[in-house]
Amino acid sequence: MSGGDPQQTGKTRMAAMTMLWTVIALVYLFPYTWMVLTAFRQPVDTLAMRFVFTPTLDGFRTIFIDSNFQLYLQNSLLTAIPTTILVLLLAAPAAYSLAHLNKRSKLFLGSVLVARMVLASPS
Amino acid sequence: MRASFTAWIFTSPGSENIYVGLENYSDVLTSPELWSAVRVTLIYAFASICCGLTLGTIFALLLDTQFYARSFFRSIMIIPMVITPSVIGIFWKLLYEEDSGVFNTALRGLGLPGFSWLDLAMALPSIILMDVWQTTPFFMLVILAGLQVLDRNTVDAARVDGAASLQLFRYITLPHLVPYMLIATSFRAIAAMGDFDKIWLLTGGGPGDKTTTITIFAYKTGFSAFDIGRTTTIACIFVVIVLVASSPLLIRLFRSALEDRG
Repeated sequence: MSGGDPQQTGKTRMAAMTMLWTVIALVYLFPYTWMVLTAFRQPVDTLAMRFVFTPTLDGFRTIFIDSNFQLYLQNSLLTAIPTTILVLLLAAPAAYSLAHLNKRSKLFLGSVLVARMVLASPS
Repeated sequence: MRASFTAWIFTSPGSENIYVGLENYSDVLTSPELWSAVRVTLIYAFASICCGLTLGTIFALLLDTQFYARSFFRSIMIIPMVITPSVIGIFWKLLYEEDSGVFNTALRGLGLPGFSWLDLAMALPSIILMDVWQTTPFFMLVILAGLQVLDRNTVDAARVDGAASLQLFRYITLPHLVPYMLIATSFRAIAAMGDFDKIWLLTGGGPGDKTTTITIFAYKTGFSAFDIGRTTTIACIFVVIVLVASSPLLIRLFRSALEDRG
């Protein structure tokens, strides 16, 4: 079970925390919210930074009809899903063995794995 | 890596066979542009990790208590982490724009003067802010995982002994969280030093070379000057730098893991 000390979770405490988190989330996710709203805006509204606007699906229409978005989406899924599955299949047994080996070889193998991460990130 | 020993330039075919030995390395290592890029990269990674770790730990501590809609908030706070860095780079450009950017419009609406987010002085802090925004949820998740395995009995015992909340944090929670912080920091250090698309799409290397990290420097050398020999040299040096910079963390991590095992 997770959670804080029992003496801290009276009802007012919980409500106050929820309100605090609402504020935090509003501030922190403001860029993301703006991004989502912009997706439904007409370009005019975006440039004018209007907060109140009439939502439109023009943007979605443009990417799905005028450009090849379905293909890109499909490609992304086709690369991401098999990659994830394959990596999980390989990494889980590797992690298991790494956790149960004796000391000496573990350090070496662990460093090899980390070295691979270093090279992979910029590419 | 072999290419780093040649004078290969994309636009002149056949030049890939001219071996120049270590000349590329000496050229690159003595060029001030490289060291400026190294400086920018290290500042970027260090600042981003410090802020991300601090903010992430604060958020994790705030999430660790019980309150209404807790899992909802935890889920939505993860969102910035899962957005593609390229998208974030492009979008924060819109936010940061001086004349009609969202931030400045909001500031002007409140009566405050607009900020020039991407000028010479503010460009590096601005990309750091963007990266902190994206990676704080990562720190938050890892630290939250650490907090949730914290032994409640220890905490209760300390409370019974009369520990105040601050003492509790400093002597029990924080030491417990150190391995988690190390793991998160190691991952972020390696990734932050290799960050490319976010920064490239936001500033293209910044006004002048203010936000040119090593990877951007390598890209510019390779695709603007088409000097592949030097680019691969830079890439090799980059790997060395990353390993050197992250080795203290990793050694610490492995050592504590080895100690746990006996």
